[in-house]
Amino acid sequence: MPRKPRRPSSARSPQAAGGGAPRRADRAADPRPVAAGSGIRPMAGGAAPVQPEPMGAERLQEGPRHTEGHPPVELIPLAPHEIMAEALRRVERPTRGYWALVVVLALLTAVGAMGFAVRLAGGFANRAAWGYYATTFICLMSMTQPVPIIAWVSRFGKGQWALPFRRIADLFGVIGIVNLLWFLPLLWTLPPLVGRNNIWFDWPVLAPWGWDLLGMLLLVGAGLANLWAGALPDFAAARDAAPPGRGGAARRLALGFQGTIRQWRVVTSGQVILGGVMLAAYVYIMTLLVGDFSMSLVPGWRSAVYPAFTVVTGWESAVATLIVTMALLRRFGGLRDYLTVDQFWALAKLLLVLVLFWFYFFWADFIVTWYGRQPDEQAVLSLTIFGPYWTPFVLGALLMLVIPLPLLIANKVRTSIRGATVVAVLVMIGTFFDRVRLYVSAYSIPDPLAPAPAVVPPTHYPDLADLAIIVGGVAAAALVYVLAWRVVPILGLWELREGLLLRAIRPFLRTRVLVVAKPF
Amino acid sequence: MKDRSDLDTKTINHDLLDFPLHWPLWFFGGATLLLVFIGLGIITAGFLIMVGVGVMGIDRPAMWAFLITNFVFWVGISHAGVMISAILRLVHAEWRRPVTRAAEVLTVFALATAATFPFLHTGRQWRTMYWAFPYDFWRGVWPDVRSPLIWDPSAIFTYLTGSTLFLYAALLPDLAVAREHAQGWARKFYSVLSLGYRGTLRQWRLQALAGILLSALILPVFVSVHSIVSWDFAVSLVPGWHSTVFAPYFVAGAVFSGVSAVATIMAAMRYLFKLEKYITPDHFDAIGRLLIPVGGGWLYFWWMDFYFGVYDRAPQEVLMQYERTFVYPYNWLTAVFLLAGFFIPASLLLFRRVRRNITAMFWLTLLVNVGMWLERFIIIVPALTFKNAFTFSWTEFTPRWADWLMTLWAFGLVLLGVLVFAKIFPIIPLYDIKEGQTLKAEVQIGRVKVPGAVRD
Amino acid sequence: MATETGGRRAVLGLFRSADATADGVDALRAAGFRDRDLDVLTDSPFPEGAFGERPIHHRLYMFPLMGAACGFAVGVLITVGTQFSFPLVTGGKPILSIPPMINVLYEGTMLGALIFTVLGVIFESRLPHRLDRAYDPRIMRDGLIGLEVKAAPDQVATARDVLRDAGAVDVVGAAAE
Repeated sequence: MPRKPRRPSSARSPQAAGGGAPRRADRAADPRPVAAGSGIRPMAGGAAPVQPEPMGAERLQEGPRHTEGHPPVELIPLAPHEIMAEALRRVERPTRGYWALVVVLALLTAVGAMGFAVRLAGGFANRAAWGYYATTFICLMSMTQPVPIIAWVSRFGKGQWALPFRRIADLFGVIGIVNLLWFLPLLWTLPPLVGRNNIWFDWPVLAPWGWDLLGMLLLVGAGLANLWAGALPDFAAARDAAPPGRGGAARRLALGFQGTIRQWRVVTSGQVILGGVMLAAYVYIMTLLVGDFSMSLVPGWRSAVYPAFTVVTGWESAVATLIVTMALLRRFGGLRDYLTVDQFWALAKLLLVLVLFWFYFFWADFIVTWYGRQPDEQAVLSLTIFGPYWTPFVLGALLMLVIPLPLLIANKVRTSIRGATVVAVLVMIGTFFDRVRLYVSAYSIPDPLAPAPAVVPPTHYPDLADLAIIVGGVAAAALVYVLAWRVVPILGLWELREGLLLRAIRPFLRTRVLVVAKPF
Repeated sequence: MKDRSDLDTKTINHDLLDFPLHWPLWFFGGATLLLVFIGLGIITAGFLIMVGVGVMGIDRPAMWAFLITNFVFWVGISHAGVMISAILRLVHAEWRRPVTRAAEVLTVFALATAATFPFLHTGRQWRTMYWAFPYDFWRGVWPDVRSPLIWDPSAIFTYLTGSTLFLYAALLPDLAVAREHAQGWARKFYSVLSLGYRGTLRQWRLQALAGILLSALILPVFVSVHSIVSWDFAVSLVPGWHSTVFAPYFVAGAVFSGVSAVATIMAAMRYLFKLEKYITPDHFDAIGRLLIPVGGGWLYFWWMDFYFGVYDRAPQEVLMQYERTFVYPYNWLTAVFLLAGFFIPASLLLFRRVRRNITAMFWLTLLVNVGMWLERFIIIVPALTFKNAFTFSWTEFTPRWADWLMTLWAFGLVLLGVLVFAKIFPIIPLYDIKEGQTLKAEVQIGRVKVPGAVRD
Repeated sequence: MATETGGRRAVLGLFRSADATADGVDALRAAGFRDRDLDVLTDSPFPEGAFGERPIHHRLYMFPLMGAACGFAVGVLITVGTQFSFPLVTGGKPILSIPPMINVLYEGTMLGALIFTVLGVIFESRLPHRLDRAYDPRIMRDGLIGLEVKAAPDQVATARDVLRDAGAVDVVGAAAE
């Protein structure tokens, strides 16, 4: 898709110029010319338009005034009406590339469905055969469900750097539908509760199926509600911009939203509340899934930190997924103007923290388990780390910690889009291997009712059906995400416009600075 | 950003150097009171050394009680500094400016005080020194690095050194300002410490980099310190202690109690040093909002500890959890710590009106720390009291006068340290406040001027 | 206050506002003074580039790396050395137990990094510094902004004139020759 040339600043919204001089700097105009491609956004009435850059070129430009070589901040070079036109065009008139992508994903999903059919034909008696199915489900839960929570955290903390990707993150809520459907067959893979340690203490009422399903419904529902609430104003915009006789779907989804002050308060507060519900639901369901589909299948496995490990490493993989999604949308989806190095840099910093958390939670579990030298605990270490799943453990540790850590510490990688994306891809692959060692191993235990210590079974390798399921699962999630663009604009219009209002680049003595407004 | 004031250099210098350069009467009264607490503690410690650990209320099997509870509690409080200073610096939170140094000072003195307790609790401190720092190495007896009791001094020493150096590095510019306002021996003192700091562009740039770099380095240390303290308990096989969640559980509790302690200190500073222009309801609002998710995280980890403690239904573990939660006197203490430590404060902190009320915040955050002190006691003592299967060896722990005086001594030591520091050095960073004034900005949206800041 | 640096003398102009100081910097550049001979002294930080200065070159990042390496080495010495010197099996763990070592190695590494970082900040800030060189107490006391220019002896008068014309409330330093 050809990149839009940047418009001269005179075409921008006058609101973006802001008002009010910074304290202790009262230079009204900077007489120095602004060089094209310098990364400095011209002020109102400023220099000539910047020439478009070739496709694939990094927009990272190192200004001479930055000691650390950090890239200068860039604001979106478009006016609000241009953003809206682009967003609505994507919903109403998708390109041929879009449909090609849908077809490919649908075919891969069909492959996955065939793999599932083969697995289903084998029945549920052989639990080990369902190990990779369970792993794929947990991977999808880890990589997709927490992504809207990242957007929520930025709302809660009023982080405006996140405005361009909040809608992209919120859209991951629709993948909950895939996760919910994926989850249902797994309920049949669980052995009876009685006779083994379990988190329900043999509670007979709805345990585990009912409570697990309730948790999934809560999480998926909150994700969808959060997406709808956040998109409500954009549905109203689409409704009002639609030609006569069209826009029925937008009209129905907009529910008569008119943009009154009260309605805006309800939308923004509602998103904060729904995000909190999503967070609580995610922590709740992951705790249950870890207990039911991993820990309680292995005699002698008792680890209080393991649910927290899964939650936090889920966030790590979710941040990585978001970075990769943004990179793909920037490269192939024409969102170069919206997704700048600022967003990738911020997420790379968050990813660095979460990489360290992977190590921390893993170590918290390992050192206590290793130190006690109890036979049952040593058997669990043998199962999940030192024994048949040593290779997935090493791969997981390498890809989620050892390689990303020094890369993300290096300024050059952390402040570049390509660097952050490469690291994110490694983390996503590492997540899969990490989940293999925890879930395939648990599913491979032949008798969960045996007394501890458990006999460590051999490695269970994936067959063709498992590979098809893995590919199909990822494709199904991506397909639902891509199809959702036809309903919900991928650009959060009202949030982007808010960003234009709240951020401005202004001269400050002999430099330019970013001014960020923080409404209370 | 509602409560921003316009302040010039002279006002800032005058307000923030007022206490270091003058001697109000209340300082002498406060210092004397705290010295009395410390004196009583020193006398108690002397008794402890002369007579033995029997002056405390400890007895088999509960050999760890108040002294170790105080140790864990004050290490927890020491996490305030890094949480407020380092994390808020890294996320460019404007509201950190008046708070960072007080938090860092609290860290240093809380940690130094905490470090004394492992020595005191052994009864014969000279033997403990020898065991940790082997001056008698030709006998071939070395510390066992496999023991968490050796990890502890390494972690605490690292954190204490790092925090002190962090504090000093960030103090350099203010020492330069104090140098130009002082006379006589005080001027010489500040001159030596300031190393000739002039405020060149290079020096300011390096200050900014140092802030970020040191923050990034000390954050992992802060996480590791309380984790290692938690492993003193978790790597043992005592029922109730052998839990993998102890590390994040302790760290979350430390952050919760530490941030609450900072809020308490801030309220006291605002009142005592007349800092209404610098410490505003905005700051308490922000701290209150921070406390809710941190407290929520702590509660989650507490629940995970309890729940997975009884998960495998081991008889001794179930019995210990039952005794701790449902049997007098620990049932009352558990109820109090949950209510005081979390449910009451968290419920009230949800309301903006409460968060912006400084008196309410002072008492609520104090309540949080009462609860968190009890929480550490509930973790330590019942697990030891009920750790053996044979009930004939169970003894109840009852605190004695020595336990209470040592607890008082710790409060006195920390508070006196912070007070004396504030007397010698400005407790609010002058340059940080001045930078905040420089970076203040507004953005006009319609008829409203929305407060903002320059993002450097 | 006069100072000599390789034959060059430091002249210090004191300004009341940042704008006037930035004007002074521009004027000095226009008069032919090099960027590296100019410096601004303030009692609080300004955004980078506010006075038109170039980014500083430093090697601060080397210090934590060096410190971490030293700390790690000391940690290995202590942990491996003590375990082999006192080879007692405790709690069923091997003589050389790597997991417990990692805790001590980690702390040693971080301690080294922290100490060296602070030393690096002090070193790269060119401290300690004697205050009888190119400094005026009014900068830290009253919030004036100092603009220091290192001038050759025949340029001192020019520097003083430029600073005065730019609005300096006072000019201290070498007298014109």
